[in-house]
Amino acid sequence: MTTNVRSKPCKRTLTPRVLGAAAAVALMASVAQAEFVALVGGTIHPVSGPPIENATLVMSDARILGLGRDIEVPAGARVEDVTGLHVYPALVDANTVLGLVEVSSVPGTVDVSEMGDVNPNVRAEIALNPDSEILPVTMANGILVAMVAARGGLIAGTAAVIRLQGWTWEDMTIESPVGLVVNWPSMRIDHSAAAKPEDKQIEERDTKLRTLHAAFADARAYVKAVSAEGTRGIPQHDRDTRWEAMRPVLEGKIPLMVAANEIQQIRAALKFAEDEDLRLVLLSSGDVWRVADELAARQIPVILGPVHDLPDRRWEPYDSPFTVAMKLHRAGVRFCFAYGADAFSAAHARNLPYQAATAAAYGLPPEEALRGVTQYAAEILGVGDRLGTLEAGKEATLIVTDGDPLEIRTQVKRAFMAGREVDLANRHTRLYEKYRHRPPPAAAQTPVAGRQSSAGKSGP
Amino acid sequence: MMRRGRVVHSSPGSIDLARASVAVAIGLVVTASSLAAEGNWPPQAEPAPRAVLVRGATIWTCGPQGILTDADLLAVQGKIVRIGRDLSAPADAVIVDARGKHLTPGLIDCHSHSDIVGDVNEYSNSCTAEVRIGDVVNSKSIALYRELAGGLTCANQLHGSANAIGGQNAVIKLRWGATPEGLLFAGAPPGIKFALGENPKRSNWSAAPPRYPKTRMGVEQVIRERFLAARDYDRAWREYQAHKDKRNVIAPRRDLQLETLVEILHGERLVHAHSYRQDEILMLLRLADEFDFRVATFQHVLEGYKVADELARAGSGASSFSDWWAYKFEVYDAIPHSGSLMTERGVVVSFNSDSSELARRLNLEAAKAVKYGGMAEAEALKLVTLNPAIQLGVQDKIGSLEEGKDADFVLWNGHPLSTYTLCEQTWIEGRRYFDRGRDESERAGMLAERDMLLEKARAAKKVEETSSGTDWKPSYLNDGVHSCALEEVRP
Repeated sequence: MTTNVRSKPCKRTLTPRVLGAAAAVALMASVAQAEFVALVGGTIHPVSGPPIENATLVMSDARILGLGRDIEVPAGARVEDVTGLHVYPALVDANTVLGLVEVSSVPGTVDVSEMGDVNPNVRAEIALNPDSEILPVTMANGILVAMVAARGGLIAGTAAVIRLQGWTWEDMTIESPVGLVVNWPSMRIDHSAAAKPEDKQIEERDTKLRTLHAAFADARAYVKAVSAEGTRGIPQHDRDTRWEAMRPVLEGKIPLMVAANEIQQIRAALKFAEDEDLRLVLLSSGDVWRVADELAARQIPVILGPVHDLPDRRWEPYDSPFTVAMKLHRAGVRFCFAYGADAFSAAHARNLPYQAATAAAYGLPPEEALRGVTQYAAEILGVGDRLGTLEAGKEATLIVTDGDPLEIRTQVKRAFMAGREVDLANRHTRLYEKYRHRPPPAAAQTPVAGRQSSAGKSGP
Repeated sequence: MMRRGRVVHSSPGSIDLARASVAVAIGLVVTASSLAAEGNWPPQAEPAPRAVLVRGATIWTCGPQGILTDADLLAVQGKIVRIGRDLSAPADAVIVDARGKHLTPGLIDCHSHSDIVGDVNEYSNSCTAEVRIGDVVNSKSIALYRELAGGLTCANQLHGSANAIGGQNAVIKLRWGATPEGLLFAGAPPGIKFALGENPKRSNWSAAPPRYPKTRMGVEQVIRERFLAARDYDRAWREYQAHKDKRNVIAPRRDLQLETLVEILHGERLVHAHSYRQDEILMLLRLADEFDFRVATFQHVLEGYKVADELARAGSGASSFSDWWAYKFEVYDAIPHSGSLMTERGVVVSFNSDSSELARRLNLEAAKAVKYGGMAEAEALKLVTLNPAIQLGVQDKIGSLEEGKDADFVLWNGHPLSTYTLCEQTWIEGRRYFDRGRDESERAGMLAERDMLLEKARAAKKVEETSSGTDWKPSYLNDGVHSCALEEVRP
């Protein structure tokens, strides 16, 4: 749709008429009464296509109406001059616990891992804290969208795509569920001195694998039993929220999202998904590149992270975590970036774009690095029709920067969430403003009363 | 789910094949041995040339010469001799063509635990001033090489933060391949770790045996009591020295812990104090004032921006994370602008890693001071070069590219504060300890030899085939992944 608008040589007034048909239908009602906002004079990076200098982007009622060089600003539009600046789609952290944790060492502020092994019914979005101080801090670096999911046990729960701002968790939820997260049991035998005996390790692993298989078998049986209700002679089955929650995965509506880094885990997950006829997305780092050809052949997408990590083994090249993205790209694997899925990482997710840049420093084409935190993330999370690129008809969730958002020194100047400007002030900017205006203390003073040891002073 | 050690019997015919492949393999080992024999991977540094001339670089001197474009640096016998344009090279000099590239001083990490054998904490007591990291420097840590590959040349190896007064530090140069003694930075003044706040009071360890102190109030009293004891110990020794020629005068019993604290009182040992909140920072500043010593650095010091004037006035440095926060309650008020704000108020600030992973990209940590608080780029680079050198008391030897200083420098393929830049070469005292080109060309041989050895092992039916390669590792090859900031957060 972007190209449609751009390819017209003459100036056009933005009405639904120039939009793609589908978007026009969707926008018809809103355009009439909505306020128009036009970002004028900046370089627009649609990501889906090459950058457009000195361009205009018009948004209204949460959507992008159009963008390009030959866009006429609608009458009455609020015009925002962004000359010298750059407009990008909002960045997406594709796997995080943002909103589910505040201070990772204080258990009362952490809602990340539920008890037990089988929790497909656990929903991440309902535990989001819209007033978490971490969210605005993250948005200040251009990350406005994320996938959140619980982490604990074997079947951890369902994942949701969220925006990092909203009055309530319902406001924040863009789409849910978008996947069922499974932590694949470690398939590796630990031979270190502190490890449990080998047969014990194997027993524990096999128990987990049996539990996983049994959960899927039970869920299928449950769905079958419930579906048969109403058939003569078949009683109503007791409702079970766990198996209900697994329906969308079994029906192929959402993927199984398997956290796995070891080759054996990944191969086992591939086999499992094939046997069970499930869509699969991998949440991986580490060794995932070693099976890149298989993943490419089977078109299994990977949510990759973190890049800033240490090699798993002493002998591995020092840059091995930095080159995983390049290797996946060269093999033709679809992937996007995630900062890190643990509680500690949530507060530091604002550094996601710099991880993507490191992958670029070590061989990934820079434009692919950018897509890995925008377009590809949205696509793999199943919201590529709404987010991830700047195109007419898509949600106006975007950022305005003074340079490449993957460079640390770049400043995110403004941000728009579904067409509404985001206040980029946050806990950090507030404390900075407060203490940079602290007047210098009067004089060097140590309260005499505080000099507890003076009386005992000895020596010459 | 392959079972380990399952024996598959081969036919007599295959034995000959196996023998033949072993013979071939031995031949390969001989040819590959210079590349990847045990101890030769990652590559050891080649011998130092007498002279090296880096030609045509953008040189960030971090010294009075500022940033020079299209400039040369000449080093002879490990020292910088000249920096300027169109320098002539001695006949035997190694020439490094650096046109289009950037040269900076070697990066310095003022807070590291990367190269320590075993546990970094002597947990038992609240004061363990007698223990020495210098006794347990791990010259085999792979972190040394990985950090060299990120441009690091010097690191302050610190005791952990479990005690109010911890153990003695060891400042090392990352001379990959040297012995533990060979890593020690001979010119660095001795130091010691202190710790305030949640770690010494063990807030987050429900399983730990009870130990005084349990509050910040108690932490102060532990430190105060030990310094009073040190003062008495010092007096006892001075009285003994004054009267030892007289009859019936007996020397005090030597106390290694108090002896160390006396060195602090005499200004001979630098205090590096793990700290977060402004109250505890101020407490230690006042206590140090009473006992008349200077706290060389507050480490982490994430609320340092709240007491920047007090830090500046005391002449204490701030060695901080660039942007870590919210991993404990005491760091909930940490802000990434702190480095810039403290610098504006006159504090000497450095950015450290406290992490074997973060230590691989301290140049990018420096870039965050540009982003948050608008520090000038040349000043920002000093956060990981000159400023930590000042904090460690070694600024006359390292930290900037100046004539007479050690030839510790890093060659980057682009702007050193750009996220798209990588480190190409790292030199210490005029010797090239990391060379990306060499690493890349030799890794292929290493990986080929590894595959060959694995194949041999499989043929011998001695190990399970694990395609990812399980990594057996003796405990002395500890890879140094400790972070004292996280020691109570990530078990």
